[in-house]
Amino acid sequence: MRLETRGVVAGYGSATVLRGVDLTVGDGEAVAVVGRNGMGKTTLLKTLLGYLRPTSGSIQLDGVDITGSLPERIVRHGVAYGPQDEPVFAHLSVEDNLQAARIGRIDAARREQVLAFFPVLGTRLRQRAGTLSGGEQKMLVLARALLAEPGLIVLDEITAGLQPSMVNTVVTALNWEREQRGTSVLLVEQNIDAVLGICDRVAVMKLGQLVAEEKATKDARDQLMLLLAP
Amino acid sequence: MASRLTLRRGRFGTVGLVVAGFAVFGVVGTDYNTGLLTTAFVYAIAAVSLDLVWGYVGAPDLGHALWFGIGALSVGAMTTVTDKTGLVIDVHDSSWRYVVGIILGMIVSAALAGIVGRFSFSARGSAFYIAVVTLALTTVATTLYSQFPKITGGDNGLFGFGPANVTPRTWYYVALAALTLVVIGAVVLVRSDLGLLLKAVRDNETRTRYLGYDVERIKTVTFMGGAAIAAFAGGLMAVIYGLVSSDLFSFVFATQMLVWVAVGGRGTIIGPVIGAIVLQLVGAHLSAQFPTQWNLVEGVLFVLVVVFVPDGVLPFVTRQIGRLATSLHTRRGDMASREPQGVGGRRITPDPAGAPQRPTTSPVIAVSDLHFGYGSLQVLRGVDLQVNRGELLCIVGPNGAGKSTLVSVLADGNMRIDGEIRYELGSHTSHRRRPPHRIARYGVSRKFQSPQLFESLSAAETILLARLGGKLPSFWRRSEVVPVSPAVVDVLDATGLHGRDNERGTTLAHGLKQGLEIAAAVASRPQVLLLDEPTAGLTLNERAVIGKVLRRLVGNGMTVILIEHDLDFVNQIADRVVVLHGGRIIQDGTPDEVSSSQVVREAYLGTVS
Repeated sequence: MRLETRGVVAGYGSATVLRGVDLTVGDGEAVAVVGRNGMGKTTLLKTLLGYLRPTSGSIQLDGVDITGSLPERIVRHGVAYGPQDEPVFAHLSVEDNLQAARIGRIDAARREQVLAFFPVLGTRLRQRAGTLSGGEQKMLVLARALLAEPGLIVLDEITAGLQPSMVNTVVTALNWEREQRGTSVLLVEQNIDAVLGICDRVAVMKLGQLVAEEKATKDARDQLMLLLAP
Repeated sequence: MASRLTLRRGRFGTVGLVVAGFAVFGVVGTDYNTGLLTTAFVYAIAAVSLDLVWGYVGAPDLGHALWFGIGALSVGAMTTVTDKTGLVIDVHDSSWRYVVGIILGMIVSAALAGIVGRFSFSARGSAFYIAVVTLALTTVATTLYSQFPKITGGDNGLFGFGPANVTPRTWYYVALAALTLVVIGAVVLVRSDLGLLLKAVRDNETRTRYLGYDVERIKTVTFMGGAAIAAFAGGLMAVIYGLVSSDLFSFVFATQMLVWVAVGGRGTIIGPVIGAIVLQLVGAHLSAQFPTQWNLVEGVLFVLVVVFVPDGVLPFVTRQIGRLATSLHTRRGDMASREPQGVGGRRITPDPAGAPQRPTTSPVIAVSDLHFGYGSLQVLRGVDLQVNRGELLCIVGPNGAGKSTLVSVLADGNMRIDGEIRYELGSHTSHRRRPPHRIARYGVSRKFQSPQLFESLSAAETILLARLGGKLPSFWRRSEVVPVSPAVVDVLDATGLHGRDNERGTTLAHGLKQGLEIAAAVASRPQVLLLDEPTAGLTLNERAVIGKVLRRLVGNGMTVILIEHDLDFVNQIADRVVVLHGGRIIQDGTPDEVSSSQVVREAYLGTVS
């Protein structure tokens, strides 16, 4: 799935946060948006998902204009979103959270594979998701996104609070998803190593605009650290 | 600073102008209209009292008329003599009885509210308890009213009392003066540092608790105060009109009060006053012309407000004026005014006086054989841990190992644990059954894993409350500046919060919220600092600064316990690392020892080599 934004301006009330964002995630491509805090990364994702209505600019999914559409419409286009805050249905069981991934039937083989990535979820299916630890909730978010069989996965700081080995698993799982289904991926992430493990391109956000772009190669690491320094 | 002062002078000027206007109206107005306004002023006092309870500490009192009624009944019962059936047969004519009646009503209301609050506000309970209880109490009260005619006059009520030789115009001025005093008192209160605490309770009880404040007590005392002020209004009403009936206790009247507050603007004091006066005036005029339709109009109005301007008319109007002013400024090319409107107007300033040195290496926390579970799910399975003063301890371990739970248990003595936790913080040692606010006052400060902040408080205000650390703030004084230690300044600067003193905590980006949480925790000048994943969502540079700040605090004798996944970060800053796995501590040693251990590499890092 191809995502394309042109000149997106959005914000909260009188505060403009995004000041003209041009971002393209090609079909099957994985892109990360990095940057210091308060630069508008999460706001960008919220705008793409329809939680915020842009005051100008356009957003297209596979050439279909979705600017100003509501989140449920955008998700039905085939976008899976893992938000940063309140990512799970706290009062539903882990199983019900997984079932909520999609309206249709969940593919059994896929489910088995996804639970193999995150074995702890398999042992906690009946537990209320709100009682999972912070890191386990993150796993549930990713598992649910994968079960949705999306065309585009959008994840906000998915590795925050995950143990190092689990960060590796997230990298593995997302790469598996890309190989299997050619899913496009858009990440907002602080963990540069995870970004380099998953993505093709990295865009740097500053004060509501994408100011730089790097190919996600091993050599890019130092360059990115430089761009992220205050 | 100069402009702020003018603003405030302007605000009091407006109030003075309005009061003067009403005073003049008392001379020129018709008897009918001044009579209506007299009632409206008294109602407005009741509306203010409800706003303190509902709008500030967030307790939806659905039966606020009860307190009003008690005040009125107290005056009536003090000044009348009834026969067995409750018919008024004589009236006392000594004026001290009116004063005593009002005071007695306030005391009884406050006492009853204290009992209700004591049982309805609980850390585990829901906000709806108080709504249900107060609703039930109005029903009980109206039933009881007809059961004790000897005191209440029964269905006829009490009537015919009231001081003689006082003209309605005099009462008009008495009511106006009473309202002015109550409003000024309430405005000073809510603008004071204590008012900040009330809003904090409304916005996030949990966070307030962990800053060291006894949330239940604050809510109960405010509830008592609100009840007493409502009783004062009720008493005044009875004195003026010489009439008490069960209607004053009724659910219908209580609902009217809710409408005044909701329509005017909850949590604004002035809004409910306007709501009460305007609705009372308009209502009286319209119900004279359209007796049947007015209630319908009032109902529809209420629905419209709830749907379209849920925070009330006054905040809506202020917002529109603000927006208009902003757009005018912008048209003049003043770009700065496009920045978000701040709240609070308090400033953070560095306080060079450093933290007290507390160098020793005695233990501060001793945990032995600690077990804890949520229901059938056992999370901690026998943790033994001793933490020393001036130590920076990192807890690492797989997700779901029980790290956050361990920190929660340390900070809340009401969680049902097996085993023992002891503190060594001066005279404070007990942990069991010590609620979070008591442990916070020991000097144990906590940062939650996902940021917990206050919807309507600015960054500066959050830090101010943290800094007070559970001490009751002033009722009238308003701190304009919030002095903070250099460590707090460093955290604020490092996480990009510099100069954002007046932004609301909850509108900040995620990483900035983290920064504010850490800053608040440090600002409370704790002896023990519990940090649950403080660096999640922070960039490497920001982490490095936080690390340096923590090292410096530890150097000054603070104890820091930190949950962290970034092992590079841990290696840089930790004195000691414990690995928690499956609810047990499986490793305890220096950063080097732990990161080279085989079991850690396998279970945690996933880099077997």
